[in-house]
Amino acid sequence: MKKEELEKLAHLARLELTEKEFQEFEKELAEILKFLEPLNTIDIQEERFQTNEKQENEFRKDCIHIHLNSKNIVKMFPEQKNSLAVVPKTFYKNSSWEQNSNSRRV
Amino acid sequence: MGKLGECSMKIGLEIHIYPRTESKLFCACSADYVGKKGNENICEICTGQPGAKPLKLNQTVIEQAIELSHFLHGTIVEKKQIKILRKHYFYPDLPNNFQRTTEPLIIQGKFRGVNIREIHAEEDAGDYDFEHGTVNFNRSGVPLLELVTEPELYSGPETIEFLKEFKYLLDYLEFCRTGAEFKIDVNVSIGAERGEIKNLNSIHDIEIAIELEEQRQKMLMAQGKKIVRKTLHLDRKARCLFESRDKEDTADYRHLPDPDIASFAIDSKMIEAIIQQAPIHPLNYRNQLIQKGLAFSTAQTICSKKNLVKSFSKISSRCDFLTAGLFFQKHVKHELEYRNISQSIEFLNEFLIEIIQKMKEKQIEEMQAVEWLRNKLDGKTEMKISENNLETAIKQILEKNEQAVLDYRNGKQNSLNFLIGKIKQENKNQKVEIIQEILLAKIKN
Amino acid sequence: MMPKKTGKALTELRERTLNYLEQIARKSELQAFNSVESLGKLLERINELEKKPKEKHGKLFGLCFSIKDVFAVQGLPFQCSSKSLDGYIAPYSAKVVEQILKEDGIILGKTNCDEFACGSSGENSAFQTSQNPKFKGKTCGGSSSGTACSVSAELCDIGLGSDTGGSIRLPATFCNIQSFKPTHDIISRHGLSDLAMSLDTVAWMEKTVQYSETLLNLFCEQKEKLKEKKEITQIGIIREQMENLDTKVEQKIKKTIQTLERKGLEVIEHSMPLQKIAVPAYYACMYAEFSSSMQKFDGFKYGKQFSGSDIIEAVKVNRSVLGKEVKRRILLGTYLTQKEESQKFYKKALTARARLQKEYTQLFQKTPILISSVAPVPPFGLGEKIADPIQMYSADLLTVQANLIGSPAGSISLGEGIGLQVMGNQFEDKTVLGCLQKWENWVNAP
Repeated sequence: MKKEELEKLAHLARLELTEKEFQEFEKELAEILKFLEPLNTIDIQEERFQTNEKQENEFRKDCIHIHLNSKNIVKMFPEQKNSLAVVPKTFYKNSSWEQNSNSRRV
Repeated sequence: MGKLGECSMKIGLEIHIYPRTESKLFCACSADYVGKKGNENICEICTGQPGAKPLKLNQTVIEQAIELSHFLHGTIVEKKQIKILRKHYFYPDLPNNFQRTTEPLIIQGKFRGVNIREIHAEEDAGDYDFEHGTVNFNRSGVPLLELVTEPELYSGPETIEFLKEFKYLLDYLEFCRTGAEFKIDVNVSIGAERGEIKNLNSIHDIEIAIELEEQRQKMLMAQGKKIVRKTLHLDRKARCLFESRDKEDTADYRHLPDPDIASFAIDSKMIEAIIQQAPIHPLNYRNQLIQKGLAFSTAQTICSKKNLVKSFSKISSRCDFLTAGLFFQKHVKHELEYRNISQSIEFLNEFLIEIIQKMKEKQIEEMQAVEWLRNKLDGKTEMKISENNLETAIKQILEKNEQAVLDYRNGKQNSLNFLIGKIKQENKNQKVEIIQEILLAKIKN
Repeated sequence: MMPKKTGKALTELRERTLNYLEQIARKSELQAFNSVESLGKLLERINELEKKPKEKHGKLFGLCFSIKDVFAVQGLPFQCSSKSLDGYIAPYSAKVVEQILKEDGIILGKTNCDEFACGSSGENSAFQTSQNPKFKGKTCGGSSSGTACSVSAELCDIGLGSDTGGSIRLPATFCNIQSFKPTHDIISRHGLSDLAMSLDTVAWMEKTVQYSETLLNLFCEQKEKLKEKKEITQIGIIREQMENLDTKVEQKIKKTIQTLERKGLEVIEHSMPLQKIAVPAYYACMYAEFSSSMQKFDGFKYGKQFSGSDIIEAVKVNRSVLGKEVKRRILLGTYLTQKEESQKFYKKALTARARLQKEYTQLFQKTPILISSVAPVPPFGLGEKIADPIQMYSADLLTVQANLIGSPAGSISLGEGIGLQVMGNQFEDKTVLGCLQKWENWVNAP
């Protein structure tokens, strides 16, 4: 697998790889993909396999169930403020958006 | 300056509507997220905790989609197995970093001559406040119906009219959650490629966005530059469009059928049940009323509410049509709204026929009919001719203020206001417009 | 620290539970557990259960469970043996865990496993490597390595785990105990961290097949679909599955077949050339689905968050603590689900599964039970296969099929880390369990 391809995949999957990891993965991934080659003998058909039959009631009745674990969930946020999860900011609307590399006026 | 060329603008819309449901799409948290404290309306499913699995799809959302399809003359995807897909992208408001969305539920609809490509359901994301760097998951998982039109709108004004009528239909059906507007993505193209302006919340913003995007593309064409597909956002304050590269333009969503949820079919029994209960089509009925002689504004008002249409359609053939129309427009709607009555008023039908006929035959004055209507709605069944009704009051004030009447007839506008003021003083709960109307009518005689 | 023995008479419940706790501490070098319930909480639980009158005892009264660290147990760390869930305490419990507690079971702790269940030896855990209690220097097998270790070393009664391609059957076999994986999705996976949703199955291990039927009936959410137990007179083996086995394994399996024949069973040989598609189909499905399962780990809702300059950087840094095998599988899955690839391999894998299902159904009509070895090799040494992922994947050669077609499958130990796999058609769980119960007494197991 070529490095550019791997870089694209890593970005798509939000994985930051070291140089060493890039080299190792390039080789390993190519080998593993070869391992999948026998699948090429299969013609894709719309045969839907089922590990479990379709259930009778496909939908759920629309009613509310109050959960008591919202506080536990909030406690697990790595960073929180007033019960909101804290994450990085994104700059769009300040006066210096023209300088911000993530957004451009058009 | 280069040739502007023949630019014919084409506009397509992706309208996201919040259907009225109790619970979220795949979990049983309340869908009524507006005004709740931060991260109070959540569970392990709608916050993407490891291991949490979706519940079965909320039935009401499918029913809503069927109802909407009926009014948009759409085709319901009946026989095929409809899958739920995972649409993957990373964003802080998306707890699983994928969004669950159904394949099209409805196809081939039409509204005001514009073809509707498809309608599907999807879960909403939470709320990422990018200025403060915080995320609130109360809204995460709330159901949305997305409606995609073909790019068959050809100007800003046409698009606005389309949306106003669409909103009119949705309000009539009481379709959307109160407090949650719809969210619209607008696709504008002059040439081969389009600009996608995302997440517009008001009709006013859409107007501006279309204008700006049209200008931008025309400018590029004039400069001989190539138009590239872009994803844009509107900065309302600065009145400009900007693009952001955080949400990738050429995103690969790696759609995967969700293995946790069985694919489903929409049962014909469910469809029948909904169509049988469906109210009268407001736009069709409005046209009928206009053809029969009502003014547009009268028909528009009557057709804005399900309960008005239901009653009017039953009674209007049994009493004077025009009188009924005006009475509904001027008074019935207001009295119902004032009392927050949105359910059926069929119990009033016979009563309304009676008072409308009495008005037509001049047995009672209009304001007397209004008073009786109010009494009826407030649980009082008396239909006495009341002495202190508005008409009488106005008559009396006119008799006492002959000079003011004369002054008005001679061109003094202030005199009219003076008279209105006097009348309002003694009839505080009457609307000024009604007072003025009756007053002027009497003065003219 | 053990509580002093008071004048209060020790109930059997109390004695057993505290004994297990003591054993866990004593045999800590086996590294079976990632976290153990606190003594205080366990004593609370014991007190609570002791107060119950006998008529009110639940079906699992007093049974001590070890739970693989991929399940949510409210109040206990939920880490999937990964650094990315550092500090995460489960805010809710898995459905099966709630059921265990409701029936008066006791949860002793969370067992070690391969990180996010990615592995066949237990060596991919980011925390520690569980040691095979029966065979020193050998791996426990994976991914439910710690779970097998805990049951085999008598640190609990029952180990609850998950099986996606053999993750229950392989470690149970390597540690000389029994296991059972039910039909896919008859038991709720709510609370089981996803590896591959269409393959993951809640499963369990025991020293002998004692409580499996109780657990099946308790957990099963589609009881009306379970078929009645059948008496078995004919069993099948697939010729292709007897090829390329390690000599010792082959000998033991052949000997076991003879034993079964002597007990009156007819063993019929089948051929299924389509077998060669099984492992590639498994990996294509698994990678694709895993890449989706892992999207949620971005460091914003749980785990560790490192400060990143923006929302893209931050996610990358937060995900950098994922282990190598996990990253490998995410990359492969991302590749297989890209739009350029138009998910070619994934779609082919789904078709392959449908084909396999058809062929297996035909075989099951002739012989309702199929047997094979659980693994092609006996337990391998620590460090032996970890360097080469493809080598590691070969351990799953004979177990992935049951997951691909959603069939129930269990294992009986034949000793020496070798096991007999018993498989039936979908919803024939009771028949498979029946065979496990009967045959475990027939075959030699040290």
